Amino acid sequence: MKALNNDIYVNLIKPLEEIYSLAHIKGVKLQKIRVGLRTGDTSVNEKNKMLKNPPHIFITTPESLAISLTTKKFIEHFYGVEFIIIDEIHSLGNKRGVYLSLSLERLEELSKITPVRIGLSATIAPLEEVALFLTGNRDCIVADVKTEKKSDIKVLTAGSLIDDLKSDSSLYSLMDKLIQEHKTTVIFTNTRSATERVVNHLKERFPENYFNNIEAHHSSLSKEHRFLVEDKLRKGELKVVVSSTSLELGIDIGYIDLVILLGSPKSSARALQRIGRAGHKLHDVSVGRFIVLDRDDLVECSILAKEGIERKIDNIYIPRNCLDVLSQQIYGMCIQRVWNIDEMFHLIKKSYCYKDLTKEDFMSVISYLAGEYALEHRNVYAKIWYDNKTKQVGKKGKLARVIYLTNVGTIPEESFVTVISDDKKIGVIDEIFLEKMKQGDVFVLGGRKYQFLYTRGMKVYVKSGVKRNPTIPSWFSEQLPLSFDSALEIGKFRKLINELFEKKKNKKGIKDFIKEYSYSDEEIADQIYDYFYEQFYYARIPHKSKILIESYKGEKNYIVVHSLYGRRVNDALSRALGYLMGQKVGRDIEIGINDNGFYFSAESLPIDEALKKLRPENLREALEEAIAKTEILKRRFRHCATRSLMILRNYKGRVKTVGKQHMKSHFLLSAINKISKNFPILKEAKREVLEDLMDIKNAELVLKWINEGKIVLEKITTKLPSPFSHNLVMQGYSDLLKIEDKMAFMKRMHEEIMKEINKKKNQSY
Amino acid sequence: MKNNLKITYLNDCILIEDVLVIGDIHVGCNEYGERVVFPGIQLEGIINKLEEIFGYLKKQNKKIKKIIQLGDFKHDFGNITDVEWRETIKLIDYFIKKVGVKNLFIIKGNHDNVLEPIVRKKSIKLKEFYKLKRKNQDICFMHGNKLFEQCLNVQTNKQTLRKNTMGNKQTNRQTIFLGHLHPAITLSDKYKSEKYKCFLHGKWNGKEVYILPSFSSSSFGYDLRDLDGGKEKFFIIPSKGLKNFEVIIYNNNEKKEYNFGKLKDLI
Repeated sequence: MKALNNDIYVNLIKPLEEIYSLAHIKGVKLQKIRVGLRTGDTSVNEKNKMLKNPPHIFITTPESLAISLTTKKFIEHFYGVEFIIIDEIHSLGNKRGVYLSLSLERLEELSKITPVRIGLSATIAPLEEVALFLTGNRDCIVADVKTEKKSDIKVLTAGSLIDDLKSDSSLYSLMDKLIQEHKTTVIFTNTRSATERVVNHLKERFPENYFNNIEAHHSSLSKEHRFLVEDKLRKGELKVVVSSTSLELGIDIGYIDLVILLGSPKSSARALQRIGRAGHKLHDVSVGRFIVLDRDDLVECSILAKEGIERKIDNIYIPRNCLDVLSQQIYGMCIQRVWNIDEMFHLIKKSYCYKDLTKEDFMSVISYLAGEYALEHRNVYAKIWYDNKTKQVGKKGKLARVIYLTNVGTIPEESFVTVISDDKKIGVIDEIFLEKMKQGDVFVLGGRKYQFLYTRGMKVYVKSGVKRNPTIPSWFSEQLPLSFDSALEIGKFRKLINELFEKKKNKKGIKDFIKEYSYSDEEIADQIYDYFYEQFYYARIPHKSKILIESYKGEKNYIVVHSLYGRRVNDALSRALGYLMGQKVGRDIEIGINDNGFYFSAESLPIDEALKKLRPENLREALEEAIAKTEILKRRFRHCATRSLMILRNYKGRVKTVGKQHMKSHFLLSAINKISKNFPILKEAKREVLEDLMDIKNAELVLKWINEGKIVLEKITTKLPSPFSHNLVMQGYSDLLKIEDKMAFMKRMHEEIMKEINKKKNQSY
Repeated sequence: MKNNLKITYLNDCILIEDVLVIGDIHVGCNEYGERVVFPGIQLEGIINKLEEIFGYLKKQNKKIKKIIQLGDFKHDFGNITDVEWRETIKLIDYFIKKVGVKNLFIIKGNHDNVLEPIVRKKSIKLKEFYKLKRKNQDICFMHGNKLFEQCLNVQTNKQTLRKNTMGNKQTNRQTIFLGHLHPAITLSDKYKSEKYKCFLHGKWNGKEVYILPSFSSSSFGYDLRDLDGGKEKFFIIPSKGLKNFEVIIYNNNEKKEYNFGKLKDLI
């Protein structure tokens, strides 16, 4: 964001100067337009300058805007705001966007005239909802500019996708070939670790091509380093940059003539954003190449490419009624001035994100902020006062502004440690997750199992190639989830192909359909055909209207549920089903989840009963219980507690480390559990897990479709896992649903061991 | 003759009639050997656990006259913070309140260098070992890192002793209680794996030996699967001998112990 602001600054000053010189030539007298930039990096001196001589155009971030809104001297300059422009509005489908939506209402309330709000994005849908989000339920004009920007999108494979070793080497050869054929290339991967891996491999395999003309760019790298890389790009000094998500946003990165997407970008909007980085100028052609990594990826990328070519963009998700963000904003409002409670409620409800906020939830946040939950002995002090008689509410404490200023923001702080196996960096894990680990524990990272050996400083050493089950639930994943809309598109594609197979259409006919439908070439169509052919004749093809439930017995019992609805939906469905089964049999259940489905592994899996029990009406209830004691809820609670200022990251200049924040949140959570089940911030943490991390809304929809018969369930038993389940069983990131009590397990093991001993005794007689 | 000493397992402790034996506590240390961030909260947990034990004993109409702690009372980090100092004194005061200064015996563990000055303030002297006679039997308490021959005089002067006690085998019997090892065992089946603190009970050099688990947080323990990996070298009983010991896990919900048979069959 900060980079983006600097960028706009540069791109605004230049055109302005050009305008001045044109005006000068034509003899038109123009007023000098002042531009001011306020971000977290802006110096006090510059801010003072702005106050003395306010800018015509004020460029800022959501956080700095919120601070400006609490500063008396700044507020005076907001009385006559004419236009508010929000660029790249698609990047605000998160709590930061929710936060901004409230700031906009506050700005509007301050201004004597109604500012015109303008939102910009090339890749966002549905426009109607985004319009409401931007304007807060007010009327507006949607300018759906059908950009005539041409794009050239293709899916490529590096040979066969079944032979692992061969494809790895040909993968890099293919990349090298593409890079060499173009001037400047950006490669997008989905994780930070993959980014590093690609840079290293290219350098190692083609040292003559890649030396100091290749760079990585991702969010774990320092700001300075990223600026440096961006600058080199603009100057044309780089041949190739490998990035995860950090280069998606629209900073000007100079001339790029090829974008390579390594692996599925998981949504059509993201695919288009990434590909749009090539040929950023209006009449340039955006050249994008998907390079697929495995067979599921092949199908997924082919459909995303189709959506990209047809410019179908999946729907944005905007969180609603976030009580933590609300707490922070109410605090900000109280610092600004004293409010009448109804007036405040009315203003908040103008925001699209809070239009359905109940008075009850609003008042519970007021109660929390006013210190009515008696958390003083846990060092959570009242931040506002509320007078029930006068209905007035205002700030409490002399330090209010300082506390607000130093703790504002919605992006949670995390600290990571590097995981190393065989002298190679394989990824990062959360520092807090590490605290849970004991020697010998098995955990999952990037879909693979590792055994924890020891730590040295900020490095964790692990052993790879472990067969044992994970011993600690992970539920942390760097992977991007496949969007629900794109998942349904893939499901539709599967359904169409399945129909052709059922109609006994010949190979050529089916391949022609694949080629036409997904704009793919012979080789791609061949591989897609083979994959579906194997699945159809070995098992069944699950699709949009059919969930396949496949049981097989390997070393352990497995049930694979082929439900292609994206990981956020599958996360909700699998945990609810797993929880219901676990309740029934009283044992732990291993689960694995990916975008295409999920699996369970345990001695006994009463899936029919669980499926019968789970309905759209009780999904939320089941999930709330399933997540009640999980690490993820604790983690999200910490984020929410920080956002709602229960935990201050910074108090009087003393900064709390992530570890300390975590400890504090741990004690707060146990205190709150004793006080009230409806404590607003705990409620928010649960909402965040169910609605933002998982996708309970669409999971309910899927259950509804099952009830209505729009989706049928089909059960089969296989001897070996079917082709469609390979990736899921091999790499689906697995987790453990802890159900069985530790002591109950001890007693069961005791019984078994005694049986064993008695058997031995009898044999020896 | 049967050993008629009444020995009862209770939570992480052992009860010898009216004597409560408590293993390593390691005040200030978490299960990873690191300093705890909030010693106050750790102590709150320890005292709650002790309250639960004493409450249970009260219900059973049992009175404790003596407390013996087997060493590593406070974890040694080379220095001590003010809070740790205060919390350690609080815990010692708690024990004194229960049985009085004269009946509190703390054995010096390998982690107890900082403890000396603290207990001296309360006029308690740390002991290298402690001996007790009950029902004509010698009971010996040691930390477990060092062998004190004086403690085992009955056995070390085996021959002289045999002569003196001809026909009277009773005095020859000896029971030893040890800490230091913090035994824990991992139980696993195909789908699940959990680690439990445990007691070890067995014979060593003709003596009956009980090894107590640590008294600190629930998963503080040395996994016995790693027995050949090194730590047992610092323990007075070699791993070969330990493997013949029985593994006992105590279920505090049921107040009942479960004997899992010999260690060698479990690892």
